Amino acid sequence: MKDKLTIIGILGPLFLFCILGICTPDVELSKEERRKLEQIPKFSTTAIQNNTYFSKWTNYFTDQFPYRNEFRKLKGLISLNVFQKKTENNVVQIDDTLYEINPYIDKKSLTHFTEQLNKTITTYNNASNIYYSIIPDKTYYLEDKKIPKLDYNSLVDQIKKEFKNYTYISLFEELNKESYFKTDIHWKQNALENVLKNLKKAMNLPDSNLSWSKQEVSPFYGALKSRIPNNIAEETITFYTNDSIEQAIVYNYEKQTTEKAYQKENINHLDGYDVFLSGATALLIIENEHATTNKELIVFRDSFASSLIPLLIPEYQKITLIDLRYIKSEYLKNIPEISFQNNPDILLLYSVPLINNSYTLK
Amino acid sequence: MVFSSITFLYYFLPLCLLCYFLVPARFRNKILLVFSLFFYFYGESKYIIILIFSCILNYYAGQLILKYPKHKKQILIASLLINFGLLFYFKYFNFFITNINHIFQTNLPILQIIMPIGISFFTFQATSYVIDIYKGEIKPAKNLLDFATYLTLFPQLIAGPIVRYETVEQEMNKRTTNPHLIAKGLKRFILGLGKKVLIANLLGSFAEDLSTLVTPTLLSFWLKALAYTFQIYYDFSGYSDMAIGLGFIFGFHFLENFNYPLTAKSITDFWHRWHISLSTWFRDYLYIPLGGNRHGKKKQIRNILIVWLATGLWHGASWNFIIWGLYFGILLLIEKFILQKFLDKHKILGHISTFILILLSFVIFETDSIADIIFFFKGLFDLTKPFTTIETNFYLKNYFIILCIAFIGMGPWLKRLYNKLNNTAIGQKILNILEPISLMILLFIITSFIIDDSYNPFLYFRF
Repeated sequence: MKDKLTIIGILGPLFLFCILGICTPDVELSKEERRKLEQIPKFSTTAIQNNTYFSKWTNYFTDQFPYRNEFRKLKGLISLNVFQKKTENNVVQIDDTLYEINPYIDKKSLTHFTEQLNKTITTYNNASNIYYSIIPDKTYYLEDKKIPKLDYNSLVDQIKKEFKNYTYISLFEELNKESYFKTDIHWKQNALENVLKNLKKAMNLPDSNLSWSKQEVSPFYGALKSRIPNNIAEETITFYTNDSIEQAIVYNYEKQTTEKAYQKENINHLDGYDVFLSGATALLIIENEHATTNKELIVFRDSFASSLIPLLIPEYQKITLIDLRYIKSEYLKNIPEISFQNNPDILLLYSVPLINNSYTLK
Repeated sequence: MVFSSITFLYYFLPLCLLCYFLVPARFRNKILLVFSLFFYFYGESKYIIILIFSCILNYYAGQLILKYPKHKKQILIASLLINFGLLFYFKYFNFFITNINHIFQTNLPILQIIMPIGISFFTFQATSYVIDIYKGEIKPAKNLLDFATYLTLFPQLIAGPIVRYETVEQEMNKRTTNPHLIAKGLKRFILGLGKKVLIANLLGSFAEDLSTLVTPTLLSFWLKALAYTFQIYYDFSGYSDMAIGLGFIFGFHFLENFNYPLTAKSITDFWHRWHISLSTWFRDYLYIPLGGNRHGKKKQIRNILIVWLATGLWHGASWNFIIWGLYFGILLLIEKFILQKFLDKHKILGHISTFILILLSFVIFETDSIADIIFFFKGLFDLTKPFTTIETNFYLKNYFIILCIAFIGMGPWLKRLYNKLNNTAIGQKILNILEPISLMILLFIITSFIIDDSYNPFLYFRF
């Protein structure tokens, strides 16, 4: 009896999932993991020779396994409840929020970051209105003392030493852990009211009383959720817009196209945060005829800026967003659309995760 | 292909079992051969030729020894030279050249050689086959296909145990299987897979997490040594369990390879329990032919050191493995000639000291260079270092349950409990239902960890 049950209990699932795996149609994308899934590999003798052909088959079988997401959730359940494991891929779940654990300052990265930015600024600009802000990741606001945290004060102090000639705008007090998505590293646009006020005040922008309309788009699966297969609900992206933002022209230099500041349909991208300013891109130029000032702004930035900058569109005639991860700083001089001549405001807006891993800055 | 993959579990194994049990018994060896060759081809496509060559070479070496008894010594030597020549070329050549260059300040070129997976295992199996025929201890295989089936048998092809032909000689020709043996094999396989996926892999990532600490602490060094030790034990013994389990399913009875080695009361005892198929191979084909303990103490010491130097080198072409082997050689000598009586009297002390010495040995085993070994040992004994930090505590807490499971699983206690329960009428009734259900749940849990694997190393690529 026991033997028969054992044979059925083990061989049954092996055969069943084998048949299901063969019969189930392949899936191209995994929203939950925010990545493309492996497809049937193409045969080539070179691939056989360098052992990549069959390793792709291994990835294919694993990626296309029936009920893959349910199995990933099972793993999360066992890790969390049976093994009492708090982290998975350096992500920890506290209550219903995911945090990235990285308690170490990468000094080389920090040096690379300040050197790259200083080099870029001194090459192109002699303006005096240079501001910088450091966006803390949400682990900063975690109250659990048993979870190792980065020494944020030390990180800020070291950057301040290297950015002596620029004006520092602290955002640490303007945010809290609710300001961030539960499943993502990014902040929520609808939690940036204080950040916006603080920036405007420091950058001498008028506190114009604009009216906003609120819009929502879902489902949003954050990057941290893709790294920890726990059962956390999907989220909604909320954003604010008005006529000024809607009428602004966003020119994507990389794609040579004009776009809207918000693109709701991008919620279906692997990174739903692409709703804001089309996500990761090298160079964007935003022009707004109806701006409240005739000022220009150049922002050196990472992805956090994508959700904040639209809220500054009503104030500036022209905003240039430069992401040095995707464009080398020396190429900037060859782009006539970027002008440092009109004494623009310059804002360096970078998050701690990027500063601590800045090797992609060119 | 590795056992801890979806490809193997859900595609290769069901198809293999289906073909194996559907065909008449006389075709079953051929089915196993075809699947075994594909198993190897899947992971190491271009080196399949080396495996096939080894099959042909050693099969005909055995035949020739039988056919030309007068020249059997020459045939044996020639086959050993080719077998070990191939092993030397693929595994040790670059290590040898690097050291020559270092010692003699020469600039001999390093070749782009990738070692065929499992070459140490199949070379040792093949040579034991030829030597045993030479010694008249076994009869040669009936035909090349049967021999090739034995040598390439996928359950033990890439990670052991080293199965000698004498162990499966009868079963190669005639073997029976029944539901009890299949169920026993499946249970052993799933438990082995669980050891690999749920304990070894997780403790491997524990060791990796501890490696990222910018300020390592005294506790973190010891935890890392512990994590290494458990990782290697559960990975290796898990693979052996899987191989033995698969063997049962196909009707083979492979010998046990691990017998709770981490509970050993001495280093001598440890090596009677750890990778038994390797230590008995070296005993029978190196230590005894060298003279063993038959020619006085001096020669015995020499023989022991040679065997342990070879054991170290077998695990990889690197100085840390040589040091690892000699470390055990020296410890065994100390035990044999100085401490044996003391350890016999003080068993608890023996268990504790052996466990610590094993822990230290796996630090040598896991680290890549002599400088790293020195750094690690300094860390283990540097009392000026902080004992612990928030980071160390955090990671310890993160893996604490798995560490506890690993501690409980390293001894025979659970098995004894199981046997006790199974010996009672009510216990048997409970187990009849509970055991198959538990195994099925375990399979699902293992599958979930394989599907979302961020860490599933194959530790035997250097063997």
